[in-house]
Amino acid sequence: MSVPTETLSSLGYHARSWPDTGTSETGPLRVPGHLAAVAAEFSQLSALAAGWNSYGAAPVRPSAIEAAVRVLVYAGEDMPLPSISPTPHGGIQLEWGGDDDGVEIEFEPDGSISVLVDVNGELDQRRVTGTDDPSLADALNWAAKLA
Amino acid sequence: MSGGGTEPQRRYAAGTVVWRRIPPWHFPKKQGQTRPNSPAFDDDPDGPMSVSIAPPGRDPAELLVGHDGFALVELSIEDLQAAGQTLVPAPTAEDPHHAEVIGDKAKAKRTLAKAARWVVPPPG
Repeated sequence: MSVPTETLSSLGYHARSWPDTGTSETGPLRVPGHLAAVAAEFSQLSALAAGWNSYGAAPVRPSAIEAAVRVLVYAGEDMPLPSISPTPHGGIQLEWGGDDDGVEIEFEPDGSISVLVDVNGELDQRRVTGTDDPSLADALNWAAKLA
Repeated sequence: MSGGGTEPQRRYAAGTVVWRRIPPWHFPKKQGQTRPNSPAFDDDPDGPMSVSIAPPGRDPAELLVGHDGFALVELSIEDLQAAGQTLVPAPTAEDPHHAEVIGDKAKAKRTLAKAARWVVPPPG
């Protein structure tokens, strides 16, 4: 069965023009239907103005949103949806879990990705190179178990 | 005064409490989560994470003036130290109680999110 897909723009997300992002996207980013709610959240976050946290936070960069969407698409439709937060540096954080154990994946505007896994208060944080990085797959597998 | 590297930490007594505003985008959203999200405790683009010292008797609502919909949490200096952070005074014209939390936030922001206690919880 084929998964229905939409583009980010058809789901309400419209990337703003950023003169200094150097985004490498060459076509519309396809968003599976199961991520429609996530795309709506990204759309809201993309509209945040500078200083949205009252402490000088940067606006969320399209490059960070696109990287987050790509990882969620890679994770597949069986993956529970994460909690989504903007970061002060213009990035996006995805989080699974509750108050204690959890998995966080952070997407920086410069394209770097880091994962943080919290098991019984023991924190393991590392950079990942992309969807082919085993550390990302490990983190997603753990996140699926937590949800 | 020696001006040594640990001097700023000594400026605040044990039990000192700090407050930090939490924007709605960092409120708990998922079932089973009651604390803010960890990006609420990251450094800012232009410097370290800002906080405001909460001396006894200070009204927490003071920090939320002009920030409708925001919440407020508190952390003790012991919470900050347990996360490897240093509290440094950084008074401003707007807030003479302003201070900065200095240290690597890669892991610490989650530790701080777990330690934070609501002073003014999210509305509703």
